Parts: sequence; C-alpha cells; structure tokens
Amino acid sequence: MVSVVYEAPNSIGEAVRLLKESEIPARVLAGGTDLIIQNNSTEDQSRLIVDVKKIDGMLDAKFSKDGLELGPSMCCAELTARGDIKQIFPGLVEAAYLIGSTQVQGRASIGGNLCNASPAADTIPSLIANKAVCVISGPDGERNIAVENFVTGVGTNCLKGGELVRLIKVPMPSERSSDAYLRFIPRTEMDIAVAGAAVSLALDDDDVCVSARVAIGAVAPTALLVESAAACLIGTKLDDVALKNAARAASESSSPISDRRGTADYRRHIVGVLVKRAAIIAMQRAQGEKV
Amino acid sequence: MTKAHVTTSVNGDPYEFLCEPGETLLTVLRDDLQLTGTKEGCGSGDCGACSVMLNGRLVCSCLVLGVEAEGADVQTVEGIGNNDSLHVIQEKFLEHAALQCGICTPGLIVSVKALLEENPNPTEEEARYYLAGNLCRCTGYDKIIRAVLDAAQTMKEESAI
Amino acid sequence: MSEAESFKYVGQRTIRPDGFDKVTGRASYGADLALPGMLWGKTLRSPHAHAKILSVDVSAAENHSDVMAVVTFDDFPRLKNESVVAGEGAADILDLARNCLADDKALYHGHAIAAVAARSEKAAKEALSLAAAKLPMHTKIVKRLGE
Repeated sequence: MVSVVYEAPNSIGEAVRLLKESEIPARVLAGGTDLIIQNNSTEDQSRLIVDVKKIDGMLDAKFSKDGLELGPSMCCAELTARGDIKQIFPGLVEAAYLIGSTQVQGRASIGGNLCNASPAADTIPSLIANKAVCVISGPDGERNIAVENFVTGVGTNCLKGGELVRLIKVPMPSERSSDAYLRFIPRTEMDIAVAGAAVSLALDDDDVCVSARVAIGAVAPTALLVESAAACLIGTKLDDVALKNAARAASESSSPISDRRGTADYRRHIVGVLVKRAAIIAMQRAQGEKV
Repeated sequence: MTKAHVTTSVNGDPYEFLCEPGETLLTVLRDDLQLTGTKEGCGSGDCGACSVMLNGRLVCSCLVLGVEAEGADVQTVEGIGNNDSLHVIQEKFLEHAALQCGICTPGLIVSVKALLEENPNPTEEEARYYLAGNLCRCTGYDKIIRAVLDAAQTMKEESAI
Repeated sequence: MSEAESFKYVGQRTIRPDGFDKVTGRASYGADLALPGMLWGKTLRSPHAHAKILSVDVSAAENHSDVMAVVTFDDFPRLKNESVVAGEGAADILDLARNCLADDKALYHGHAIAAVAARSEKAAKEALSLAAAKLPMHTKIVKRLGE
C-alpha cells in the first residue's frame, strides 16, 4: 500500500528544500483531486506529500501592470467566481470551470491541472493560447518556461528535482481581444475531453484579426500550439474560408489516438470543428458581445 | 508511520484525533470520529456520496486528507437538521420520495444545501448542473430535482415571512 | 371505486418509514457498523479488462501477521458446468464461481481475483499489495480471428 509522509511548509524555500532532499518520491499537493486518488494504488511505496497551500501567493490571483499573476493552487471555484479575471480571460475561466464537478471545483487548481499534464487537461490549451508562462522555483533559483514547453509528454513535465511552479503569469492581452475554450465530451458533464480547442485573438478597429494563438488538446501526447492554424486567421475577418483553413490546419497538426473515448479519425475531425467555433466565440467576445 | 495529531471543528463541535497522514477526511469522519452519515461510493471523487463542506466549500471528502482538516470547519449531513426538526431540504426529499436505497442521500443533502446557499433560486438546469457530481443509481434524479426546486421555493417563502 | 378514498396508506402519498434515518445520515448500512474484534475485508481486483492470469501467489499475504484468511478461486469446491437454481432463475454454477473470483481469466476491469480478511484496514491494504506483487497477467492479443 502507499504510505504517506505529509509536510505543509510555510515558504517556497522550505518547499524546495523538502522536495529536493526527500529520499522517497515527493509530490506537491494543491487540491489533491488527481494526487490523492493515486494513493489508492496497491503498489508498495512511501511518498512525501508537500502541501503548498500555506505558502503566501499560492492561493491568490491579482493583476499587475503586466497581466495576471495567478497562484497555481487557487481552487477553480474561487477562480471562476473572479469577475475581473473572467472579463479579461473568459476562455481560461471557462476551461477551468469545466474541470470535474462542483465538488472537484472546490479543490482542483490550474497549477495541478498543468503539472499533472494529462493530454486531455482542459486548462493547458487555454494557458497556451493566452501565452501563459510558468514561474518555477527550485534549488538553483528561479526560471520561466512558456506553458507550451512546460509539458513534455503524457503525464510528464519539465520540473526537475526540488522544483515547483510558484506562479503562472498570463500577459495582459491588447484592446479588442478575447479568448474561448471548447471541448467535446460524450456526456454533458464530468467527463474527460475527447478533443479541446483554445483560441485567443485580437482585432483591429475594422474587425480584422491582427494576432491569434490556437492551441489544441486531447489530440496528441501534449497540448499543441498550432501556429499554422493561427496564421490562417491573422489578416482576415474570420470569414468561412479562413475558418475552414484554420480548422484543417489544426486537424493536420493533431496526432490523436483511438481509445474508448473516441477514434483517432473522429478526434482529428472534431478538433478542427472546435477550433472554428472557438475562434468565432473569441471574435464575438473581442467585439464586445456577451457570449 | 507516525500518526498526525489534528484539531478541527465538525458541525460546530471541536474534535481532536490522530490519523495516518495518508488517511482521507472521509475515512477520518467515518472510522475515527464515528460520523458515518457521510458515505463512500467510489473513493475517487466521481460519485459525490462523500460530499461535505470544508471551510464553506462543497468538496468530496475522499479527495481531502484528514491532516488538511487542521484548523478547518467541516460540515457534514449530521449537522443538517437537528433532533427536533428536519431541514426543509430533508423534508422535501421525504415528501417527494427523492430517495430509495439512500446511499447517495447524505451527499445530496449537503450538496443541495450548498447549492441553495449559493443560488437560492436555481433553474432546473442550474440545479442539475450543480448536482452533476452527485450520482444516484435508484431514483433517476427526477424526484430529487423536484425536491430541490420545491425546497428552494419554500425556503424563499420562509425567508420572506 | 369510492372505497379507495378512505384508506390511510393505500392510494396515498406516504413517507417511507426508513426515510427519516436516511435523510439525516443515521441509517446504518453494512459499512457503517464497527464491532469489537471485527475484521476488515479487501478485494484484489483486475486492472485489466481482459487478461490471462498466469499465476496467483497469495503466500506472502497469508503470512502477514495480521491477516486471518485469504481466498482465491482455488478455495472453491471443484465445480462443473451445470445448471443450478440460483436466486431468481437458473445459472451455471461454474460460471457463477468464476465471476465471484477469477479462475484463469480476468473477464472485466474490476474482476475480483483474491480477497483478504485482516485485523485492520491497513493490514488488509498491505496484504493486497503483497498479493498484487505476485500476480503476473497476460493481456497481449496473440492471434486475431482470421490470422
């Protein structure tokens, strides 16, 4: 059975020390909605669990002059109740809101969703589309990594021994910009994405798209930033041809598997559909529509 | 393995206990504190039978460690209603036959109370989405939702008096 | 037809008699009981949807100081495929037995393979880990129909 040793440090430095010096496998605990289930394993193992919720800043979110500074351990329920964050990043908030049930929302965090690195994680495409950056603290100091480079494979991330994510920075988008996240699940609620798409874009005063970022999830070992799809949107007013091209580019960039949730062909097709629809919603929001 | 010493408050009462660090709050409530009202349905946070309030938030107690209850305020089904009278939600569940085997019921009662505190006037759709994390094998949910909407209506009327 | 109106329960909406206990959490289900000296049972279940069980070795679990008993399919009496009256109809007794505890094949994710009874929940979990460590299973499809 899994034997747990539990520590709840009061500072980042203390957390780094505990993670670095542990002789047994160590994991960071925020909401625990992924981690605690792993303790049910019949494997014989001792684990150190480092609860980071007592550390200043891990549970807060505020806007600085550069953008959003998001504590990675803030629970989704609290995040989604933040009207100020929802106004600037409606797509990121709606992605966070899709995770699990009301109960799971009361604990689950974006940092946990990111570090757990499931290929189908809902917040990762949205973080990527919004150019989010992870601020990582470790024994060698601090480093910044773009979210698209943070996840390295199925369930794996680039954190080295002793490191943890202490902040997620999301740069302030320009005027007349917005984002959206859509996912496909066979049920209505409480499911894992079969395909996911996040789009963030900015328009000029003539409603021409001047910048865009498209990220897709659940259709490859990691969420993918699809520059070719964004290129199809930039310089256009998101007419049918542009959207069709963006959808095709997204589908072609994906490398989904067939599993019990869906076939590869279906996922490849539907991720294109989701990119198109998310782009339209992002555009409508950028134009000031309440969608 | 050294046990952890935890001081907490459950339904307003102070509690002190020892538990293994890996023990979930669900196990602590049921096995260490003998508060067996909260049920285990899946152990993986999918069914909601273990729902409790933790510091004012609806959570699955199977996804919270017992040690995380240190200094916290926990509310379980045992704290809803009292020896003299049932809470409106409990009355409506009985009136509308919103239960059969009853295993999901404690988790639902806690969740419905949380719903109505957050949103005293939910639409049917809002109620269904909020309670999506509470699974029921027996009733087909229809009678549960009727009970929830009726409870909301009655609580609104009672607070208007 | 007019007789039905005056019944106390028939034709009326009644409150179920166990309802009060169930909505308050007071109703006692099997898992809610705790008796002095009671044992804890845990089941080792297949993680695979379909697999050949190459061998089951529960000796380490049996030797755990707090484990009182371990059962596997081998503990059942020797059975043959035969129809027996069971519950609401007939069933094949050997199929039933193989569903209770897997014989040489795990037929679904969660199919019980072994069960332990121990003096504490912790000991039962430890026993499961010991049994799980000695449970080689084979899932690879070797030959498809038509090959």
